[in-house]
Amino acid sequence: MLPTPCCNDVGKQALMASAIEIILTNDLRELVQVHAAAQQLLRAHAIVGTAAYIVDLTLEEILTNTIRHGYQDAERHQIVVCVSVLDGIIELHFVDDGREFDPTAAVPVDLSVPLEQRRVGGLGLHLVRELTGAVRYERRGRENHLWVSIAAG
Amino acid sequence: MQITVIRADDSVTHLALSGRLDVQGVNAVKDQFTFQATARHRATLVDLAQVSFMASLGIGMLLEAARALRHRGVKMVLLAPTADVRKTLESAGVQQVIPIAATADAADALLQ
Repeated sequence: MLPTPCCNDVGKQALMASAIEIILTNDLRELVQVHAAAQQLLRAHAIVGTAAYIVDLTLEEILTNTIRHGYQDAERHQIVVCVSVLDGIIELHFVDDGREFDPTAAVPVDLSVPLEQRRVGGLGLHLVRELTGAVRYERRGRENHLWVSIAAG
Repeated sequence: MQITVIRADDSVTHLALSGRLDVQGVNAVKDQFTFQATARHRATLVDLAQVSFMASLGIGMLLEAARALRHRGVKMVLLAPTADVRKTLESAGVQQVIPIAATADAADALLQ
């Protein structure tokens, strides 16, 4: 089942908004195009530096997580990412039809453990929560919807 | 993502990484990095000055090598990450288990 388009949300029609919708499959090799498209939009809005880096990191961590862990079959699935810029806020909206997963409810990573006990699992979501402004999740029917907001400056 | 061996002598292994440590970058270099960093059982300096991007999988690669070296009683130090990469490492608490140095002299001191 294809995820619904995500750049039609009410509020995205504001005059100063700019948005792109990127459709990819659950193939890690497609991340390169996602990064390139997002960075092109940000450059058009003169958004570079740390804000652009955090967008890049969020895309990498969320999409890698979805592609590697979101599906229990070997089928091809579509994932939709909407990147929008409005009033100094970059918003990323991810839509997938994978298994239900709320990143905001993931168990926090314990950074106090010694090196021998440090694991990578959950670290990507931890970085997204630490480095971005707001993260919101909804399950809509058979789709996961995740919004991440990042300050542009 | 590329690895360059800057120095490999009796006292230290100095490796330089360049490019993106994202899922593609890690897949490309992980085995080689792990071998270069750990096979000689020497204190290891990982130069990150030319690493433009660090994802959690990249951090995992560094942690794994540091663990292997710690098991052998030797240290790893990360050198000169960019501000954004350093922020990523610190947000992941890496500096608590792998020292991060801004300069080569500071790194040498940490490796002693």
